[in-house]
Amino acid sequence: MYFYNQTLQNSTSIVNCICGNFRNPKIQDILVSHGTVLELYKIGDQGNLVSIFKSEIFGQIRSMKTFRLPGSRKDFVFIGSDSGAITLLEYSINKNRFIVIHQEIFGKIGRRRVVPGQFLAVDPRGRAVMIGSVEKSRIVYVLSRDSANNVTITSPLEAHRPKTIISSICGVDVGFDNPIFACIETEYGEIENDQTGEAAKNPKKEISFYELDLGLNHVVRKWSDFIEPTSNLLIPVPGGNSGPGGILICSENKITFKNKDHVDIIEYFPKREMNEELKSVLNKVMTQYKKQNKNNENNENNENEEVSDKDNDDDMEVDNTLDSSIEIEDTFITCYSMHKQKGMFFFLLQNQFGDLFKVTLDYDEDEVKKINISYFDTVSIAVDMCLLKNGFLFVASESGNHYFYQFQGTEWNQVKSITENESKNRKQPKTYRIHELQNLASIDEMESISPLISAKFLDLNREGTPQLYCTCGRGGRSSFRVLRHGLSVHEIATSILTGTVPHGIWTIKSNIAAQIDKYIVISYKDSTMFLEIGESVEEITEKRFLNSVSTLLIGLMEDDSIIQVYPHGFRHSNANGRIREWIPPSRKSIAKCTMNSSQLVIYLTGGELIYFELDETGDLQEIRKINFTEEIVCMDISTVPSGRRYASFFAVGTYNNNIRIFSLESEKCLESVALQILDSKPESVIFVEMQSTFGEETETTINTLFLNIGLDNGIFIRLVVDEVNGTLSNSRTRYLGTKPVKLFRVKSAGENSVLALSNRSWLSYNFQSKFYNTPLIYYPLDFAAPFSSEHCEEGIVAISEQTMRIIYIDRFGTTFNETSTPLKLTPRHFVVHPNNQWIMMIQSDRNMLSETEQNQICMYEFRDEIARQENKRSGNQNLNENQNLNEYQYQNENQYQNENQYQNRNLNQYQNQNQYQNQYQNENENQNNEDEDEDEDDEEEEKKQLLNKQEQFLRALRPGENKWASSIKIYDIIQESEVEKFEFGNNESAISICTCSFQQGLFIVVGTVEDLILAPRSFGKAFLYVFQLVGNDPQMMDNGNQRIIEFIHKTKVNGIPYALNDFHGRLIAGIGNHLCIYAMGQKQLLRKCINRGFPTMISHIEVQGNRIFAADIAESIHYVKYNQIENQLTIIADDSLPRYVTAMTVLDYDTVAVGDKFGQIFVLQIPEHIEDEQDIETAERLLWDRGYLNGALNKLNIMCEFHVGEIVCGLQKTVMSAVSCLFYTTMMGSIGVLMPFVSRDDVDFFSLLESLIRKELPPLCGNDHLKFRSSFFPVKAVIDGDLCEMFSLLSSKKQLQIANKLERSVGEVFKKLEDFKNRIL
Amino acid sequence: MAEEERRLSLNIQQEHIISKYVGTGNTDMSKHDWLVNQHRDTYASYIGNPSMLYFISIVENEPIAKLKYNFLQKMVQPCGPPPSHKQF
Repeated sequence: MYFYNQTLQNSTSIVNCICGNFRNPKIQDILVSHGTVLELYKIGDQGNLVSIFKSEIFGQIRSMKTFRLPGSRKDFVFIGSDSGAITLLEYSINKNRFIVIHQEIFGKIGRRRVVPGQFLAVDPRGRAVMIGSVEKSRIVYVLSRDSANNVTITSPLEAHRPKTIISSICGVDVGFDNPIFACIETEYGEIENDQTGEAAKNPKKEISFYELDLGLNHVVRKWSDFIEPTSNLLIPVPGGNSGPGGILICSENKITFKNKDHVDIIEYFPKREMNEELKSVLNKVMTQYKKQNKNNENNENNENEEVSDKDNDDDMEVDNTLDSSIEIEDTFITCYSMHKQKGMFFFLLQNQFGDLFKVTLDYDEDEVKKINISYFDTVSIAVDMCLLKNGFLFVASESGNHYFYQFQGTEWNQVKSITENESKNRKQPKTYRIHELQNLASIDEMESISPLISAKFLDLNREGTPQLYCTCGRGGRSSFRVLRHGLSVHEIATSILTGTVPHGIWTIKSNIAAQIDKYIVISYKDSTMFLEIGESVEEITEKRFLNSVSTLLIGLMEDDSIIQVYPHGFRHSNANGRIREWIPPSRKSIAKCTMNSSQLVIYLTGGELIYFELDETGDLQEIRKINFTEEIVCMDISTVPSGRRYASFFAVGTYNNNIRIFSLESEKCLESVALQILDSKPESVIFVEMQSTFGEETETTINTLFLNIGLDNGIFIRLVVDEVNGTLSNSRTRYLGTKPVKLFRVKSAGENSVLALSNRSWLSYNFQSKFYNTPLIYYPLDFAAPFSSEHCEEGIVAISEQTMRIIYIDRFGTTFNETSTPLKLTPRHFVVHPNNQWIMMIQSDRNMLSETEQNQICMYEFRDEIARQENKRSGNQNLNENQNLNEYQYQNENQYQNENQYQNRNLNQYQNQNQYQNQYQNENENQNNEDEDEDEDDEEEEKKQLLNKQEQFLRALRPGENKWASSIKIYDIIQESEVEKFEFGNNESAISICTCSFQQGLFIVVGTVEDLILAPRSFGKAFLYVFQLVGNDPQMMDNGNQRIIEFIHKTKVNGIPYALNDFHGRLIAGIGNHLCIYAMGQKQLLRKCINRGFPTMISHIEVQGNRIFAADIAESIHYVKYNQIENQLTIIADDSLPRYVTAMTVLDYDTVAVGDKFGQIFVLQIPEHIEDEQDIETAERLLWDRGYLNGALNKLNIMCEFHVGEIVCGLQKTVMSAVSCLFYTTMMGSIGVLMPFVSRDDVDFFSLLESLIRKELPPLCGNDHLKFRSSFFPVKAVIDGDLCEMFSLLSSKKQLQIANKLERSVGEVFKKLEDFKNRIL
Repeated sequence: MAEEERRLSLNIQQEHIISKYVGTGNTDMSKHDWLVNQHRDTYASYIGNPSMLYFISIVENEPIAKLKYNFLQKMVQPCGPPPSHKQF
């Protein structure tokens, strides 16, 4: 069993970001590390971020810093990774990628405690760099330039301090004195031996200054001082001529300025406002909710007659003690960014709620007098931020999309911030209320699905190819997203065309040199419409355009004349107004034609091909005429190569299923030079010149002429045309859809590309030295033409049925396009309703208010905003509608009241929420009214802003570490709306969900835990909730009376029900470390069978017939057999290695694929010799047989091992294109695939290719590819396609060398790579 | 003589290894020391692994920067105070 690994989408999360002038001394770019991938973004014309370089480094980037040598105008990058080496990179403009200048090895690979790489600090004057580890080690390198102007790096200088933990490192700006590095250190030598444990609670921290003596070439610890024990971050202050120097130390609630021989200047951070009123509302909401739950609980208990009155009283007492008030947490600074320009500097600091503070210093020369802190704006919680010199702020969010902001106001660096309420004493800090963005304006958003929690490939929308449904994010910023394979399309304009169905569209420029298009031509059955593009698009009639005929082709010649071809001839109109018409011989008409800027070929009915050329005088001359017996379907002439006057080839597709290439050169004019036999009728054929080979030395790109053929059975073929003799080679085919494929030449990503139209539209293009063939997520199109205007250079104008659409594509290189729905709590798992397009997910969060509480608090806090919106809306709507709505609401409630007792809880919620509910209903109602008024757009926008603000507000309300909020949510994929919600009370948290078909019908079972404490793990009670799925019929749903899930009963269990699954009409559950089978009972689930033989906790269960694969959370897979006769669960085999399983899926009857917490994917197989279809006797024997060390008797075979580098959180076998593949998704948002190899030849070929490339292209940051893929276990039977694809990055010489060793041609290697790619997507 | 020299150099080598590689064990190492060492290594690895930080961040519902800070704080005495008498 061999697999081919290919990453489809790189991780979307960002770990570090820095900005600098890497490419150009005048332009700042943003360099981002996605953990294992390095990516460079430039800022586009519209302030959007455009990716210009991306590289997999096969390792983990841990720290990055911009570095500039004195006197230089270009920035370098220092990278600290897990490779045990420090890397200095420079961006090479010629090669368009980062190149390694220096790589200094100092330690072993891996994320080790004492091997530097975690922290990186550079001297602000660019003379030295310090790289540090978490404990003990720090190494300093000195950099300079030699006489040849090359960057040199000295041997390492050690600045170790044993038994010390390092929290932060920065380079202090001391002008051009000896460089100084500052560190926050915790010396634990004495503390760790303190037997009372008191000293370790708040270990003392020191700030130390390490001076690098450039003269003596050594590092000394020069000065140190004790600081706040909560200090976590150092910020260097500009020194020398531009500031006072020294450092800022961030600690809980305050910031301290410190320098040697300087008094400490302390300032406190303002806090979020939490007035008494809000506090009391909060308390009320929480106690109300608690009481309500308790009451419910009591009711239940009373019914069961298990609890005495005395217990009840106890409960009430507990209740009172529970309502402790919520306080705003101490301010903790998570990241910062600095802006420095001549004469001023400031810092932006972010706290744990995402609030930004602007920090400035009042200083006089070297003496700092005061630190000013003011609240700035609130953004998403960031991992890292980047402030650019020209007033942009890049925020790399921890959860969800990343944002790009622009500072508002003309003098952006002198932003005003609101004044806070002054307080009298220091102990009570200033307070502020959060506000919407005032100083920043969002200009771009980078989509991110990380952290990705669970993902499934399903075709719920019945689109033919599965979509990826995933739950992402944390807390209030979590979301449910749907990813589709394809490029997202932006629509600029649409207009509905009147009259008959159009059958052609072209765009024409005003002259050949013009950049933008002037006219759009649309051809109908017997007329043609000419549109002129100006301020607006208007229909025109001009003498040189004939609009009373159906146009076959129209185009511009190189002398700016226009040729319009129609069935009864063509007209050639010069720029100076001279019009010439050409009429075919009588009783013949033009059937097909093609042209470029100097040639024209027409095909007359009856089989005559006529070739025209534009001569120097601007006349079209008939050059040759031949009789062509086969009937032609399509033809195309290649564009004129630059530097030549005429193109030399011309292709014809005929009804005889072949393509013929004709030469147009004068000596063998219209002679057939090549023939390609096809298996179906060609529908469309075009020549496109595209870049084909990429490499280090190809500074001028090499273009190759490709012949693209679309067949009527939906197959798209791409062939290379030899530029000398026209022979065809290197064919690559791909199935696009059921409809005949029509091809059009367009421009994308600055190059020629092909738009292929079938059921879906596909774009074949080159981007960052890679070839892509990706569908567009858009309406199916019928005809298309390139369109460029002032606003978008690479647009497309297309016709789909009766509509003209102008579109453009901007995010090239992306594989997936996404739509997103925000959620309020972290979604943990989801299952799909078996009969409908409903997704049922469980959400749960620690230290969060439940959704009801959230809503109630927001109702209070944002009452003004909500009232304002309400007013606006009621102004827009008429009264009747509102009345109807109220009635509807009333009915709803009645119905709820009639329902059984468990729903009391929900009922109360609904009553409490009346107002909110009303609003929610209104919203729904609004969505149904499909009026596309601008008012409503504004309203939507406002609503979104309010929701955003609510989320930001709620971030600071943390009810306590052991408080849980949890719910089940049912979400309709088609309607894209929530249809039902069930909230858990009692501090319960839902942790598992499955659908289960008991004899009584379809049910969902949800496992919950009460009062869960994470570490050390403990809990109060645990339950299995059973809900019946009743709303199977969407028709019933429309009445609004039907609930989808109905609570049946709950069963108390003894362990955490972490894993659930359906087991042939019964439920199989992992309850702690017990594997149990349950049957449905009247009042609760009935346990039928149990196995207590698991080591830690069962995390996943997969069923394959009577075979059960159960994963232990820390001890890998156990293969369990259920014996029906004996009613026994027996562990027959287990894994020989401990693994922390995070995802698993069954591949076939014997095989299972598993992903673990350390980023490993592996495949396990049941050994062949196991006879598990055994009789009773052997079953009994199995029960008593034991392997070594308490393990099972047999061990599973390890078939494959592969290190991905990120936690695998989803594994699934599915078909996207041609082959069934194993798809994996990771926590960081990357999506990849393992495709099984079919033939042994391919395995040999690719493993040789892999090993050859491994030698030629060492990863950027000093890692070793083989070592990385074998990080935890040696890689086995998986070939890394990501590395193989790097073949295209090699120089053509190297490519040839490798190809020779493989005994293939370079083209064949490329073809093979592309072939494999096409099989996957 | 040669035997003694070799033993001496072995000793020196061992000392060198112990000082260079934090956590190198010796015959007098207690269970607690070993555990503390394991825990410190684990925390250091968490801090450098973004994927793991995201994982824990979701479980605990805490921002990543705060987690890193917590781990560093815990590294001082990860397994609580040492036992009063050394267990061999």
